[in-house]
Amino acid sequence: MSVHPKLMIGAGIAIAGLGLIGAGAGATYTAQVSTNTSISTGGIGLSLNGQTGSALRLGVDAKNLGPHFTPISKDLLLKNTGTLDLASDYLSVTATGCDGGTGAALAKALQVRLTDVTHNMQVYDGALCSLADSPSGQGFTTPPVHTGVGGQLPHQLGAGASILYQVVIQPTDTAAGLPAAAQNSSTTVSFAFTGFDS
Amino acid sequence: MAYSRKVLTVGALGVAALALIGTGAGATFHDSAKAQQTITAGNLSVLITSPSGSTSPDGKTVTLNTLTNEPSHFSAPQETVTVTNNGSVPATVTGFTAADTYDNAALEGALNIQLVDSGGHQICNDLISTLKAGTGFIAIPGGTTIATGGSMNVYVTFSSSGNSDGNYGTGLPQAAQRGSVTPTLTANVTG
Repeated sequence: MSVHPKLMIGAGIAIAGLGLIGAGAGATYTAQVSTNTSISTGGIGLSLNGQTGSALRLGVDAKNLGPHFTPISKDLLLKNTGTLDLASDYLSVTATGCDGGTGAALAKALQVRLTDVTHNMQVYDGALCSLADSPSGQGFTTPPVHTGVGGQLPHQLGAGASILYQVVIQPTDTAAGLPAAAQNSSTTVSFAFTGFDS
Repeated sequence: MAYSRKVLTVGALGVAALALIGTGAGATFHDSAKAQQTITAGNLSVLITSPSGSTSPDGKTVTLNTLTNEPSHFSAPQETVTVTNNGSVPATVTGFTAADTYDNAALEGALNIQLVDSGGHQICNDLISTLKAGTGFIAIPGGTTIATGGSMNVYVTFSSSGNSDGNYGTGLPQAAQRGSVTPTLTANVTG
């Protein structure tokens, strides 16, 4: 069957028109909706006797000690200055001489008693070097997660809360006093408190 | 040649009659019919809501609960986000685009987002910073089509890195303290 030329032209136009309709249908509507929120973190901070920093020197008058010196007592007020509760806090004690170096005779002849005055609880009472050498001493528990920060203190410290500790240092042998080898020697005792929010 | 008056009259009538027939044969019967259709474009429109959030007046933005004073390890409560099709054509959610603003890069770098669909399938569980480093687009394979009047839910959980699903991850770094991030998830919808 032959097709008349005019009819061919008509059919061609019709197909082209359908093609355009198809192109229009391929476009899509789009829309957007969104959700947002604000997330902010808290912070932690510690102060010791009202001072902050990692190299505080809280002086004690402990020079020219005699063999039977009056026990050295120092109050340490530890405060959480942050906005987060501290789930755990630790105390690391170091003393020069405990490693056998300079001042060993003096360091090894000293005893430390650490008391949580706020909770009326004795945390540690023993040889200075035992506390300094071991992360876990009397009244301390072995840190389950955090290492290198000493022994865990028995009480948590909430945001803004304080705990008063008292440190007393005296000769281990109160009757005999310091040994002669401790003359003209010195030891530097450091207390480092560390807090964690988890 | 002379014709009588009667013959002339008949002849004139005959011509007139022929002329009338000719006029009638020239006209055509005719009729017409037409079809018309009104074509109205559909309307693609979706709204977003959350039981724990507040939606903007235009229904296009929902602000979820603000999370403040978060510690180093946290996993915020799971939030339900509902996208509702209030248009006249089916709407297909092809995915979400993650973006944020922040004042603390350490926090942003350790902030995790988890998206789960209503079937419990995880759509995404990644750091926002990682998503942003790519296209920021979280695709829903095949998309989720919402019928007119229907809705779909997605569940969003923000957490410190590695902390989703109760996994006690590495948490936020020290530098993330006292920072803030405002993440935004945009649902991309086609009709």
